[in-house]
Amino acid sequence: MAESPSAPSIARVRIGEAPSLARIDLVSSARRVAALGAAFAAATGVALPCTGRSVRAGEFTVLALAPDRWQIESEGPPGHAIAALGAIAGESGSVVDQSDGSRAFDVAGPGAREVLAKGVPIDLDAAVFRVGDVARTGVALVAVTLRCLSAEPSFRIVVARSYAESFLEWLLDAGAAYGVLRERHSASPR
Amino acid sequence: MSARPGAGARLADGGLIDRTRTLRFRFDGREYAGHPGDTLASALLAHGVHRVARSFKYHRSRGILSAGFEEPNALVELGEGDARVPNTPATTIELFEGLDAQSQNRWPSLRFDLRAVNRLFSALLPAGFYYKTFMWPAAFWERVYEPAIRRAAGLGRASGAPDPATYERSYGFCDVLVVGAGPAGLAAALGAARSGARVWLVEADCRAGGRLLAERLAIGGEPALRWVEATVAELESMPTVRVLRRATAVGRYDGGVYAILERVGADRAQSAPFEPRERLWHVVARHGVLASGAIEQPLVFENNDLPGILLAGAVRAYANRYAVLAGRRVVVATSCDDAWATARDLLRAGASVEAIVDQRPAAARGPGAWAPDGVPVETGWLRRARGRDRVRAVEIEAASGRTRRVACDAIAMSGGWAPQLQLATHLGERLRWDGAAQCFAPESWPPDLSGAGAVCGEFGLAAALAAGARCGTGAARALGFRATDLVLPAVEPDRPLQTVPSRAARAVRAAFVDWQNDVTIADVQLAVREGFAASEHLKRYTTLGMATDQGKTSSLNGLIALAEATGRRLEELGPTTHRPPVVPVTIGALAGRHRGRHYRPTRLPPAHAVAADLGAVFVETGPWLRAQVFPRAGDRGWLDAMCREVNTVRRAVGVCDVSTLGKVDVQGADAPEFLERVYASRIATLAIGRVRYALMRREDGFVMDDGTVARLGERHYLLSTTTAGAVDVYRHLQYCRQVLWPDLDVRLASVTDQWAQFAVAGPRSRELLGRLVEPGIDLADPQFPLLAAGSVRLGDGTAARLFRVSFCGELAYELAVPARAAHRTLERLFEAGAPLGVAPYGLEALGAMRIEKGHVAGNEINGQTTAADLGLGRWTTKDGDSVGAVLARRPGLADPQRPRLAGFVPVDRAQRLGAGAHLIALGAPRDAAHDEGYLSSVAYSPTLGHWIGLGFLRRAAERVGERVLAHDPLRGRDALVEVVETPFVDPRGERLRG
Repeated sequence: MAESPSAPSIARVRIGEAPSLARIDLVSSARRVAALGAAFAAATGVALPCTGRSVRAGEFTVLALAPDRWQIESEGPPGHAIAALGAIAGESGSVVDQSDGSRAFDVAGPGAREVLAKGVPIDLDAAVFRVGDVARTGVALVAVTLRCLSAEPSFRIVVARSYAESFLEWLLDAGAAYGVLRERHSASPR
Repeated sequence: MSARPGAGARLADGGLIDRTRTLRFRFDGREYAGHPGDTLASALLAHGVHRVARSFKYHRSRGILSAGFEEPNALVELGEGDARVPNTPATTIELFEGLDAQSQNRWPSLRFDLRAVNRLFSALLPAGFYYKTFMWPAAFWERVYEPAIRRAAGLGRASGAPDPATYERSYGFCDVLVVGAGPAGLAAALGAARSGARVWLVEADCRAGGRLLAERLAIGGEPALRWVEATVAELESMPTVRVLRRATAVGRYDGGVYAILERVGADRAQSAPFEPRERLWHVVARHGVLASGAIEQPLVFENNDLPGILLAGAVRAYANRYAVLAGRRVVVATSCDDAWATARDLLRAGASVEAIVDQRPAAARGPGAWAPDGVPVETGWLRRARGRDRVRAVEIEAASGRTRRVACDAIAMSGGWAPQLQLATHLGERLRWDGAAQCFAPESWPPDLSGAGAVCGEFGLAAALAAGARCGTGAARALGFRATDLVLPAVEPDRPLQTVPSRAARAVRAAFVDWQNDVTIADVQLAVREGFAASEHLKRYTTLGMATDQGKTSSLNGLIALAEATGRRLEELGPTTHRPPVVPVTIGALAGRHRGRHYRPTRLPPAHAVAADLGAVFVETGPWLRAQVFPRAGDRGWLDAMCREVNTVRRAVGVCDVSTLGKVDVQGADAPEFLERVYASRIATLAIGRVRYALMRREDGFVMDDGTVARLGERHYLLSTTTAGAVDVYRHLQYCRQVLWPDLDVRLASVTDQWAQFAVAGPRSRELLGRLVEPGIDLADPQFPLLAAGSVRLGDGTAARLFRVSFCGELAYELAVPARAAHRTLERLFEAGAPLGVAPYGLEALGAMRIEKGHVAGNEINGQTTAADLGLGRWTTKDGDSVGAVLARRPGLADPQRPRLAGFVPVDRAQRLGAGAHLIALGAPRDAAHDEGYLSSVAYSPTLGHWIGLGFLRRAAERVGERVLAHDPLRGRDALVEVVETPFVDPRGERLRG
């Protein structure tokens, strides 16, 4: 494993704010979660993932954050996703718009793991935190949702909007030793 | 290898130094030169400089004792000005060009030390002298004793200026963590790594090799360092392996967590760009292999602390690794075979060995105890070293009782080797004395940790390699990897090393056990006489082992002395407890990037930029930055700004960003039932489209938080919490849902960040909002009365929520918009409100107005008050159970004598009040026994034109009109105050209804 270069000339990490997506919480309770799972599978043909995983279901990317909690990313406008999810969930889950409540940053490139290791207390090794894996964790005292987007590697980090400026400052500082290329809009796969 | 005559102590050849390059450095202002590969200690010794410090208590001249991180004497301050780092062992400082170091604990200079007079009074500084001398008067501690002790202690000076270096923390994960890159550690790392396991190998030195760097040993028929280099090269070629040098494992914690301190920039004056000076790793390892080696122990005899007296293994390290002779006429004194190798290496290097003194009779010595013909060998002890600033001679007491004096310029001593087992005991594991190996060993190894090499008392090279290989492959296999046995290179068979602890000297004054804390054998004996005969008591009473070296060269000799003084065996005396860290860790490394502004992250509400543009002064409230006041030109201070803002709200309309309030979305079939259980207030009767004030209690009956509950739909509620309570309340709700009542169908979502919220308050607030909402929406009282809640669409299409609630007592609303619409909505409020005289208001105005209205906030809901104390009993009158209802009825909480909330005004209206002032009945003594309550919140009321306060007072309800004393010893001012009813302003709430 390489040591951090003292004078970065080639950017080993790219950092950009992810495009603005609809972000919807789908929340259930122990009593209703089975019904929600069945309804979701019936409507989309895809099972709701287990905690720590994400799946693609049509226009949705579904991140499992807890046994009865999912966050859904969608490229369409929030209103459309909320209506579609509301129809699926019925009485078995709440559909709560969080599209404005967070900002997402994509971190990619050969130095991405080393940069994130300065704050992420979980093992990001490719064999351990695989593509599609999701974790709710803390980075530099900020709660985040972390997802491995691709084997490049690239990661998406969702933080509460109020913490985003502070978090970005930390991220750019952590990446400085590796050479950071700031991207206007992330080109990472979703 | 031979010593150049007369040219310092550097040998003409050999050593792991680069003689092609010269590095200049300064020590105590004098210029010296050394080579890459030197430490500060070896470079000083090369110039014949032994004396590098004064001791802590007696200010005795002290020299370099060791060649490693166990060094108790040669502590220096490194660097100058704000970059100065104290207490760094010269034996671990890699030499670099321009290095500048200062000795510590000497005044005015190392050579003429005025505090050395302490020696004349040493009878005044016996064991426990702190406890005996500095007992009373208590007031002297702060003003006299502590500063004096600190000055005298002289353990280096912190710079006192902000550290220009940066530090960082990082996380690491591996299957096998190997601590120490000596022969055992290298074999362990190789054995594990070849199986494909993820391996970390951490080495405190700048080079791998461990003790091999200091010895003249062969592996596979070649110099051992060839094998070291080949092994490291193979390990570093594997993508699954990480080798950290200059990295010390300083702590072991639950769950396989290790703290590792990496001194990234230790070999240069200034860190490279972007490079931290130190990095603290948090490494999670599935298995740990401890190959941390052993530390040689000194012998205890009179004046054993003179410069020129070193550990025998260190003398060997200086000769072999650094090509430096610690002395030319050396006496070797030992209780084990190992030091005999020092004698042989010294002879080979051209020094003269004046005598080898072994405590053991010839028959008890091992096969390693041999010397070339002509070297005088004596069975006996060192009685006393002679010399002033350097050892000049030593008195040897033979077993026969005969004493003779031998001239020398150095003594190489060895009291055996003590395994470095700190990491094996950090989780409370116990050590026991292993009589066969003559060292401490763990009672049992934890399942996720094993040891190899000298740390297990396996002192031979062959044994270390074999044990390391066994541990490495064994750990990998246990974790499910297919590890093949290592084919180990051939080495000479080990000659068993008998390491026998030294016999302690008879009670003599200056026979040191703990060099760094100046503890002598006499101190140990005195402590035992005074009853401190357990190892932990001895440690605390004498401070033995409590210095920054944590007893690495003193704890064992202290125990031996204790055993002899009490007639017990070492088996009966447990060693003192080791706690992290193994070596000192800088505060900077612990803080990492979290210092100054980055001490913790900052939360900004979504329209922060609008407030900044309006010239707000911000204040930290928890992690949030919130607008405190909006000053204008001509204001004499914050009070002017606050008064103007309050007056604007009371006369026209003001806008305050309250986005920081916690917001929780609650849905589900059982949401009404759930809320009924978590709130002390009645929720079931809340109609759709209405909002209600509500109190939440903790399990113990005290009030936890207050806020509002809005009913948005049949089974859809929105809760608001205080800013400070938001996280705790959400956590509490999740606990109730998940743990207490998992059968309820309740779904929670925190929407604090999703919604921005603005309080729009004042007689013209309805008019202002009317200009923002879609045409046709009627905000008049019949359609949107007090405590109404509902969705509204703004003129620009934003889907908003509107609540008719008021904290300031005026006609007021809270308007919530999705966070992305916050900026434009707030700007729009100021634009549309300009003709109405709108102004922003900050926390100061908010606070003053809520006190004017008698509303409680965090100062009152402080975790020690009940609903009744707060005057909010009417919000908890309901049948049925709720969290905290039962314990709220216990006698202590239901006691009518408890102080209750009341209002207070100064009798002299010009007087200022102070929060925290104690309320005392007139004429009563001003003491704790007559304390009847306190002022919790005070403010200058712009509406009334004088100071007002809220506070808690016993029997407050009966005492309205009574005068009491607000006694404020902290600020040194008392005020006569009158008890009044609240609210102070608009008691009938007419303004609230507009």
